[in-house]
Amino acid sequence: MLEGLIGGLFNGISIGAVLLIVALGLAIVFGLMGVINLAHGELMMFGAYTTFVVQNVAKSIGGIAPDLYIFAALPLAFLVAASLGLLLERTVIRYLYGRPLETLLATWGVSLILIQFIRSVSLPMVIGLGIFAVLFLVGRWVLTRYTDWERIQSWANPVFLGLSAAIAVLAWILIGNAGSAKFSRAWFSTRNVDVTPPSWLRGGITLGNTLQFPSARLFIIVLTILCLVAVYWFLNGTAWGLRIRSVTQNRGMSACLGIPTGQVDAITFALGSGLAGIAGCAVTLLGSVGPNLGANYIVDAFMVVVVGGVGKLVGSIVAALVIGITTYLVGSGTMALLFPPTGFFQPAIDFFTFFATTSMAKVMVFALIIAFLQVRPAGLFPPKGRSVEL
Amino acid sequence: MTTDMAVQPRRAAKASQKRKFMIEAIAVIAIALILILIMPMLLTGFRLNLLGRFLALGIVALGVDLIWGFTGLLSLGHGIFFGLGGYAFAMYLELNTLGEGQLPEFFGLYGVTELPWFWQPFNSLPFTLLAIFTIPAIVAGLLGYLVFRNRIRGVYFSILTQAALVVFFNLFNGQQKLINGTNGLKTSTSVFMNQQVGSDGMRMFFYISTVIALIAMYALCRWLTSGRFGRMLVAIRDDENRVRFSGYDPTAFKVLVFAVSGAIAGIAGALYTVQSGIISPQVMDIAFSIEMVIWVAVGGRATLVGAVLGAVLVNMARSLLSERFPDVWLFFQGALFLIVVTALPDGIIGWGRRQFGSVVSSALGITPTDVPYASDSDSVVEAVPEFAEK
Amino acid sequence: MSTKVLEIKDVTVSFDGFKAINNLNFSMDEGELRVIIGPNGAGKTTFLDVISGKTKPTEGAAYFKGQDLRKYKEHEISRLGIGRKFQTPRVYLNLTPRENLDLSCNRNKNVFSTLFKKAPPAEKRTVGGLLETIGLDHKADIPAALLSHGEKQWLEIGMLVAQSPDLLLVDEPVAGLTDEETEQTGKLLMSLAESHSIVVIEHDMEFVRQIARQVTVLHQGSVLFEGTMDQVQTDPKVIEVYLGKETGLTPEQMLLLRIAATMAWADDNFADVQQAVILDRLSRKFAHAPEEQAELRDDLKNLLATEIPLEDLVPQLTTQAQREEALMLSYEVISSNQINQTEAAVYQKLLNLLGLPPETVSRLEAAALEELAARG
Repeated sequence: MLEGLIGGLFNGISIGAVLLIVALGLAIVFGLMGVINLAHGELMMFGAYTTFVVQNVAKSIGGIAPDLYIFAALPLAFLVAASLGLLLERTVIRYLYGRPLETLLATWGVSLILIQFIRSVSLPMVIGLGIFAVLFLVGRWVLTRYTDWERIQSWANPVFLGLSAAIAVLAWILIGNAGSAKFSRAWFSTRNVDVTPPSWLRGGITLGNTLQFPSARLFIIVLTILCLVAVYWFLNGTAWGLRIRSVTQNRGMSACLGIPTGQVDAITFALGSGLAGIAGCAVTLLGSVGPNLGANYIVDAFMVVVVGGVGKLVGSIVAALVIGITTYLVGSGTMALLFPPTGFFQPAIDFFTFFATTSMAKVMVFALIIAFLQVRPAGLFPPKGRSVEL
Repeated sequence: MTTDMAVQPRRAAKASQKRKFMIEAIAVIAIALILILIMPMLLTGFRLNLLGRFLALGIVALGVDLIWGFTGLLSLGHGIFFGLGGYAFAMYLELNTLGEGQLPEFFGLYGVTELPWFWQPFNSLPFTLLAIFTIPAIVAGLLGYLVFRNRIRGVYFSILTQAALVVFFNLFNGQQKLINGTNGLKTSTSVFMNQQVGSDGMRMFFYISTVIALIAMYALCRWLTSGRFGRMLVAIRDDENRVRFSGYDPTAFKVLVFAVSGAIAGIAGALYTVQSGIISPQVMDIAFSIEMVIWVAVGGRATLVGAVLGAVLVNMARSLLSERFPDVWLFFQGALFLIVVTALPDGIIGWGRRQFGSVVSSALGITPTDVPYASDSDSVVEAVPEFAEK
Repeated sequence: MSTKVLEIKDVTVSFDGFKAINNLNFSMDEGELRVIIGPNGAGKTTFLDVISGKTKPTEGAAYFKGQDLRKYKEHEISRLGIGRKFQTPRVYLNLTPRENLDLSCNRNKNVFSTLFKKAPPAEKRTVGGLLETIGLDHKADIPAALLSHGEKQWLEIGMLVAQSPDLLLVDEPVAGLTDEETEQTGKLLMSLAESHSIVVIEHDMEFVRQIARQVTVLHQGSVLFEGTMDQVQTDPKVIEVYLGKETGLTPEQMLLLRIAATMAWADDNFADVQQAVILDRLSRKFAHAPEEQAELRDDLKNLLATEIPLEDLVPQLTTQAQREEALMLSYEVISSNQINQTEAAVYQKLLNLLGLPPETVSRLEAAALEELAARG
């Protein structure tokens, strides 16, 4: 009985840890900037693919590299996702602050592009992208230098964008057709790929007779804790953290005090995205990696944010753990086992057995979340005061 | 003296309004006639069927426009209502095809020998026709009530509707024994009014039904959005709290509009199902529901014509592009989201109004209405405390 | 049983332990126009929030015509007959002023009657009349987003009136308005006060003076003082709160200052030199840093700006010493710049009222001139 309890708790916490590491970046971006980033899952996916690439490189090196690649993959996944996030913030999101619903739609568009990018990325395409970037940026630079940019901006921008895109696409198609099949092959294709975890993460620790703690899950729990500590330290112990918090509390005032709010936004968003990359790296330990990886996690992660409340890390932590444990208890059928198998309790047992699959557990958890929101509409740790709801 | 002067322009405005109404009515009837009489002559059966499906999607777009364009609530869960309507009709068709006492084929595969209780009422056509819009309306109303009464709005509402969508997807996808799970229900070989649903005659019947339903729903939405009720919706979008302090209960209005919007989606779902020949949990995919939003955005929010136009145009583009370049479609769609949100916030209709509005209206002898669509900047207030500072 | 339109009993509102309102008691008669002032963070807006149902009191209760407001939601409270105007104008930007008013004017505000009923002619007339009253009849059919700040303020007041409430809660109606608009708003409120009970929150003292009969001063969530504008202005507690310092001014000293200020205002021109004199006297009592003095000067200007007839002020002086000091200070003030005829006349009046012996007067005048000369 006790072993069952500990085992259930462990499984619940490990689900919660995955949720939390996914939701962490989301919570930061949403809590601090009010931006719902629907591309978060795709940033995760990029982190996962980065891990996949690093793993392949490690395999080709051989030796102990395949056992240690994860330590290279984590920072790289962070960097890849963070720079992608930075690009996203600078090119799209910063024009949409204060319009959360539009941001939501725009990030969805970005997520579609990222998914298709992973599906069809190939050498010709990368060349095409390079051509696009060079044409557009250099062209604009030349124009800003030598003409009255302010005046022609309104039409020159879209024209240049369209022109360079057209040339780039043309180049992509031409190079793709000219080169050999191998040359223009898609790198990842639409099929899922498998990442082999390092050998030391494949086993598990066994306690007693039945208790099993898979190493991969333990690793994720530790990683989540490390990320939490790092984020907490960054927000509360560094100068940039202080700036981020001040912008959160009063954007206008912060700007007046000379805090570069634009940079703060960019850094916050990059941080959130980077965390998505780490989460992506972590989930490669649990299953295969595919272009649709993000979609599996994103909705649950949003529920963590909704239940946790905005702007407090502790809210997300508690929410992730509670949701994780509930999901496990319901999904594994443990709830049904709690009732004595007699006629009187049969309806309750049937009821919980009906929900005892992973997907049906989500149905139950959602119903519970809606019920919870009837009591605490603003989540576990709502912001308080007169200014909250205007 | 002063009253006279005030009355004069108002009378003129009234006359202009009447004229506008007449022009609109004539235009709508003309379009309906073109769709019913001329399009079948111009298009092949396959293309006409496609057009019929797109028009059915245009009906959902009306529903989405009602809730998002006018009331400012971004629902990412309209797939639920669309699916519920579709399933309701498909269940009737399954049963209608069979003789007395027979069970739909798939039940045999899972060893179900008795028709589940919730299938029973769908033996009746009147019940089914009622259910097609009342079940979605009830589900929407209930969900809306539970969310709105706690003043959950803005992005929270969007996220919760999306989560609800995932839940319904799981519910339908996971229940093989009850509703045939992933495979969905096939309707093309079913029998309706003693004819096969997939036959040419029935297709024509459903096409015409779709056009009529579209016109009816357009009229309904037009009626809802004009007059005091419609202004109330805009008022809720502009400043929900002000509405409260003026003595209205916005929750009731929002619940009603969400229910109506759900009912419209249900009707659309039923009509789409019979024209596409199948209903499966795929219609409750996250992507499909967000696409509905982008149809409205492309056409122009808070313009009912725009919603229908957007739905038809985007889906036409989709069938053209994904037939020839399946790879490009997602890129295109992603770009569409970005462009519409950043560069064309008023959609095609808004852009057209700005460019040609005065020309057209002076040609028709009416005063142009140019109501700017305020972005939902106030909803951020709730999400992020910092903006609430006065 | 009671004719109180509004009664607030022992209300406390706390946010996370911070008491925005602390054990507040307040009541107001039917038909009264009450102005509420208080420094920033005194709990003025929270006070309105409690009445209008936006915030529920942590302790205590608010009663409207004897009904406990705690059990009602915002829209129900509004339907009871309490209308509220917000600090920043909040109107429906995408609707026209006419539509804005029409929505507020609607008598039956449940969903289905809003959906199925057309506006009756009587309501249309009301809206038309209101548009004229608030001066927006020529802009009745353009989106409210295009109105100026002042017009939006007026539109919101109009919306308030359209609701035909018994009690109006008005939060800073003249913030950001021009002087002329402010005055017109004051007139509008005064005319509304003939048929409504009104609570106004305001910072602009000039405006408060224009409309106020009865003033309540809030400080740190409680009522600090209640009385007429004149009483408020001479109350040392209020001055302390407003000047934000331990002034230690006694009512008698305040009286002196008021008399001096009245002298200074005699020619409708409170010259800087005159202020300097008053300030100088003040600063001799409490040593202020220069920037504090500058602040004080502004506050005093606001505080001392009304002319209260000398006839009312002088008899309040009780001792001989006070009379002498009043004379000396006043003489200093008017001598600090060229004495003109009005000032001379007022001074003469003061002399008569003080009733000091002529030799004392001339002694004090000489002393005052010496004071001035000494300062250069």
